[in-house]
Amino acid sequence: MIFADVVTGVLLLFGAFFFLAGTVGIVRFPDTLSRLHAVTKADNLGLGIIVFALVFQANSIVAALKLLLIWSVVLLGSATTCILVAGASRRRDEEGERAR
Amino acid sequence: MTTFAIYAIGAAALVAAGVHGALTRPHLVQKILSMNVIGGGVFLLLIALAYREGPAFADPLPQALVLTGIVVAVSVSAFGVAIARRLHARMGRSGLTEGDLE
Amino acid sequence: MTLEILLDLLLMAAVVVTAFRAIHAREIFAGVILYIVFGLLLALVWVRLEAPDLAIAEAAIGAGITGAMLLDAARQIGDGPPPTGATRRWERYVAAAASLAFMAVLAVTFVTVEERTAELPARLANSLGESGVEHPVTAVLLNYRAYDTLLEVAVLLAAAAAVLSLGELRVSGRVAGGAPPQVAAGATALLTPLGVLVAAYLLLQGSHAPGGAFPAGAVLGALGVLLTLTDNSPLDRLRPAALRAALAAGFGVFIVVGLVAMAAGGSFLSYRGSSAGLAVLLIETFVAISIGATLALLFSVGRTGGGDERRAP
Repeated sequence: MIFADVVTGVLLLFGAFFFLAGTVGIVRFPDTLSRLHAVTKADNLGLGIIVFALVFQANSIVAALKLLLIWSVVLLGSATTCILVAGASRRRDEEGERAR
Repeated sequence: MTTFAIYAIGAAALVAAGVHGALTRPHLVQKILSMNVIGGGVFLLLIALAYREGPAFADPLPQALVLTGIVVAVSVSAFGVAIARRLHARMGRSGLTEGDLE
Repeated sequence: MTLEILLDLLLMAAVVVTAFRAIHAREIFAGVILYIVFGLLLALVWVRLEAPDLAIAEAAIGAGITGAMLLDAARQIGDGPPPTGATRRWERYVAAAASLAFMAVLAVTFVTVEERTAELPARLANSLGESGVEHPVTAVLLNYRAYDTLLEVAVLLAAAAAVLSLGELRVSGRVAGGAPPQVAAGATALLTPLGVLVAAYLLLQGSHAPGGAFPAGAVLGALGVLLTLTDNSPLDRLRPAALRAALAAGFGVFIVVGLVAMAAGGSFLSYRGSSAGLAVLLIETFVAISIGATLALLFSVGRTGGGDERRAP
């Protein structure tokens, strides 16, 4: 029991660190594509680590699977959104080029 | 400072910021947005009151009211957006000007 | 100062600052994005204040559907000629000072609201068994205060009617021009069955845990918005009569169940005891369908097509 709590705590800290890194990226990076790069990679990894941290606290297999399901849905959603946002940003840039 | 006091003051800030925004921001989308912030403040007060009565035994009535309130708020926003679109389509503008208030 | 208070302070400050920045953002589009962040933070507040039902509804409706609707409106009418507002400097100062004073008065009033014990929780604890469900919020919504909820469902129906009368139903229309990227179509194909499953799960879970018709309807509505944005609107495939039936089903079934309870010897909407569980489930199922259809409709009506149109001279 204590062991699981320690693992959870350490993993939570790791996860929070990746979220922090992603957030710093979104604030500091200069353009849309590199911001997307920061936020999708770092935050998804951070969320994954946090999910694994919580799996150690789940009191049933079903609850643990639900947590993993949440992570996979978020991965799917953020990968899709990332591509859509990147595409929109590229189209806007191309239009800007043509307008000039 | 208790948890209740923090959220009650936050609710007051949201309502005031929303009223201020609805009155001073010119664009209709911003007015609708401000209206939703007022709603958020009201909901927050209700839920903070329910929480104060006892976290372990929270009053379900405010929660039920806010749950339906969220759905009603989105209907009101949709109606507002529909009117704003109509105004934009007919008049080509997206805000109220001073003449509208007379 | 305990850690919890610190969390409360941080969370509340984040909510208020985001709301303020959303209202006062220079670009309307940026303001709406900040409003979505505000909605998600508010969902965190609901979790903190032990109201998980609200967190689900807020994330799906407050942040999700309202956000998508306002983004769409900002895209469509946000770049028109800037309206003239109160521009004189002293006017702005007066407005800001008045708002601060208003906030102070509100804050003092809110904080000093007299503390009193509501009778309801105790009474509920004694009689929850006869309401047909075990989750107190669902019991209040669909049994003890069913009258209120019936009228709220009527408000939704009225909103759908009002919005439909203001704009024509053009349900499809992507945000970005061109064919929908394969990626979005693929993700939607995966998310659609999952979304329906989540909605059904929430609906059934509402009898004993956070969930029920409103969160389930919210998820269905969000799914409808997603499908609309990828040109697959479920509303497109319904005939007008079927669409109207879907919009009105919740309200209709609610009334019928209420009348049946009346015929069975009680008063309107008074179902207790053994048949209450069935009555609640019946109402909830149709109310969830109607909420989902209404939310998708509210988002879709009056939209004009995607970016192409705006770009045209």
